[in-house]
Amino acid sequence: MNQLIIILAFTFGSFHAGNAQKYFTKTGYISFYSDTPIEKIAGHNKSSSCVFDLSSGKLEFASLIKGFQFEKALMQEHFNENYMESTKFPKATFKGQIENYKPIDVTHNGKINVKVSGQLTIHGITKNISTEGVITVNNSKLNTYAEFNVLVADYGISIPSLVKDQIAKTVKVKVDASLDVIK
Amino acid sequence: MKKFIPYILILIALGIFAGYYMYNKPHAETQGAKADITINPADLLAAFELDETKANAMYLDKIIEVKGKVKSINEVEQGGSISLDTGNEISSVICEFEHAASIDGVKVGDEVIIKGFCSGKLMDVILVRCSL
Repeated sequence: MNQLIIILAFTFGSFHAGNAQKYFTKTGYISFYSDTPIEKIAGHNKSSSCVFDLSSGKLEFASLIKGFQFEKALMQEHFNENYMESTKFPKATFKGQIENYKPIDVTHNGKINVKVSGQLTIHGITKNISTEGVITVNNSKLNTYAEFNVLVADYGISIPSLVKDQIAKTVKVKVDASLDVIK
Repeated sequence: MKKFIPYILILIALGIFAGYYMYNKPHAETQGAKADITINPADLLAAFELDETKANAMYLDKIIEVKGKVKSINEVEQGGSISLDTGNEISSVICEFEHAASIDGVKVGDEVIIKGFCSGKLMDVILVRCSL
């Protein structure tokens, strides 16, 4: 059913807007970093999906929480079970829009600095965020790159006082996704 | 009191050792492990499309063994990833490998058997920490 909607959306979408182009990947790389003097923790997800609408500047990202890989098994276990409750909240999503968007010319290679704002949903809680990012056009491929900070407490994730020195209150999130045009 | 001190020291040493072991315990591996569930890629995708909540309860964190045809080999930031054909244009089963070397020699169209931990579904069902 979902797929039918997606197919319909694409078909009708393209009728409507003429050559409205969407860019997309299923293998976007999203990572996050919690750095404290005591411990550095990083999680990496290499199967995040991203859709970018070239005509409107709308962007959507989605990641599976259980898809984040850590150096140490124990970190991954705590991340999933204690903090993110990934069985209850399996996905993190971002839906946003490039501010003051002018359609990107994909025929010219180059870098474009953008400001993106939208809703980030983690652990079942949605917050407005905005961040700066870079879109790189490279031979009709688009790379989206952004770094932003997330306050752990904003998303209802509580850190026990016993480990409060090991886990940063503000976590840096890095997004790096190369998108191909949907034909 | 004094005669307990050696025992207490041994307990503390054991505690530190256990803590250190826990901290460094290895990741669960799919290589050589027995699969919890063996299913073909199309059925796995269908289960998630039919009822995601139910499929999550059934498959998440389990070792899933899938046998299917390689639809594409994807470029990823670290390691490697293979998409398996499900007969569906848009959705496949994506299998992530921690090391790119694990999928050296795999070609599009090959018939492969892959084991991995199921992490859920976005547009595709995703298996992580896979082994061939």
